[in-house]
Amino acid sequence: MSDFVKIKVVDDATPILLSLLNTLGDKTLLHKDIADDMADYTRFHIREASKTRHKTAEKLKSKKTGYLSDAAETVEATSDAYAVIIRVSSPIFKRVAGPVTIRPRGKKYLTIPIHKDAVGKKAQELWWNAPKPKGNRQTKRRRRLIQGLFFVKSKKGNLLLAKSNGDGTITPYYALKTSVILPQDEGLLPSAKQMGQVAEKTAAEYLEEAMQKKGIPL
Amino acid sequence: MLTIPDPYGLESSDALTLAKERQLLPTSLSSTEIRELDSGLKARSVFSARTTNATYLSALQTRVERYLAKGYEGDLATLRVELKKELARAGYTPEKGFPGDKALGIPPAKPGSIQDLSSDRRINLILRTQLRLMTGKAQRNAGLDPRTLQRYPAWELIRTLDREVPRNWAVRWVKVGGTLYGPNKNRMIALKTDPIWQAIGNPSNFDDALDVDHPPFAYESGMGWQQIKKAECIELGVIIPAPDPSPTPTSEATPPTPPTPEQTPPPPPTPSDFLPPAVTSTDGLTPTILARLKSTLGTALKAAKKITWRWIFGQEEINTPTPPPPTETLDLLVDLATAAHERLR
Repeated sequence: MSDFVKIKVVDDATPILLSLLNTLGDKTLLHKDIADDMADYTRFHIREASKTRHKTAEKLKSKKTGYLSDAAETVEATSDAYAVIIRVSSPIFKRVAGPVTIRPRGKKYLTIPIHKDAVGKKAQELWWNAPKPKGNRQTKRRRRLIQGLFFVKSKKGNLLLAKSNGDGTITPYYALKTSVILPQDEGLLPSAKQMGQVAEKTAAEYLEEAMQKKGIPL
Repeated sequence: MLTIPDPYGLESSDALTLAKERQLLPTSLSSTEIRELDSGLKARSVFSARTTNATYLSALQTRVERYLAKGYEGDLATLRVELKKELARAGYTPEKGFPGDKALGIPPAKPGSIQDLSSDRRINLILRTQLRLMTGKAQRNAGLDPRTLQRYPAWELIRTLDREVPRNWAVRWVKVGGTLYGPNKNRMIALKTDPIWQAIGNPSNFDDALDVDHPPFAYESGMGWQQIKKAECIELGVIIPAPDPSPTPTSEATPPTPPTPEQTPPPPPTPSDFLPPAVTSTDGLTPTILARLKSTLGTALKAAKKITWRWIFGQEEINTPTPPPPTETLDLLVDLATAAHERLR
């Protein structure tokens, strides 16, 4: 798998964890415990993050797409004697590492929803959902232009995709952009420090359990 | 190490692997009739009510996998547009269905309704439900790993997605015999091996249930799981700890009590826990449903009253996956842990 972001969790503030890791010969079981705890923590973190990250939907009073909540459920963990890997599925998490520039691929513009009916929808879907025109070819074309979306330039010079209301007014649905920069959002995932704390807590529990089994007083 | 997929998404994940293992099951049955089918058959299949076209189902399966991978163009809107194009290519219209659907007795659908395969509501429902089913199943399998089960013996049913009109899951929980825990008696917690997980996803108990023992349990439920650690289970009373075997004055005076079901350690998962059997009985299906299955699946059903994947698809049966490797016991590492402990002192 060609990952584009790899964050190595190294935390000097966890001496217990480092000592334990250096002392243990086979780290498989400890890594398994850390993987389980980290996956749970990451899933919980993304679920919480998803509650505060639908500004567009809230601003436009539309339904939330649930994109981040879905991504939270895809968190998985694997581990072996050498590493713990937490997999999260969605390119949105690239924003954790820094600002992300989005550009259209194979198209001229990105369509940014500015109307509640456009949130989570492709522009062509609004076109399809428009009532089917009747009449001859010319009339069809004209009605499609009226009923469907068309380009318009706003007074400020922004390119928009809008629909006619049929009374000389229009309703803009999308702003057209050649690129959009999504700002960095480190809070989408747990920080390296938080991950380190989870790992250290797990290691302490692991040690406690091992010593209890052996009958060594804690 | 924390890894994030490239723009084309995850190439492998447990949920994706589970999704890819399934076979196509074109069917003319409605969602109510599908409820009567064996849960094993449903778990191994990609199907959708009144979807008889195998080409479209195949396209649907590919889109579900892309939605799970969450890569470039793996978003709901893009996949929805693609599926609408696939439906148009297959000659589907809400009024007439796929070509040949009329002969199978499929009624026309109101455009835009949930019965209309090309409606936003229907496609969103399928993709979202499939994502939640596959990730729920992957979480279930991971949670039943012997070591994980030892540390996290219980699951809590929690809301993971807001709903405009949320269903009252606490009422469902109590209805099927669940206990509510916590100071406010509002936490739906049960051992991972508790039959309640099957009960809340059972269509015979709830009309909207998906016949699964893992999230989402029901259509558009918005419900998920969080694992509960053993210590918290004991604290909440989900598990009653076994009495200390060392003799004490009080334990000598009190006669030993028989272990409660909670005290019994949960059995380790078997391979059959991960996938249902490859052979499914058709006993119990009504003659109408059998006839309609037969009409869609051709010569798949034979007199032996069994459905097997070999019959349906002319393929070998799916191999049962190998069980997870046995987890090493802690004893082997205790000396090393002790050494670490000494060093820290």
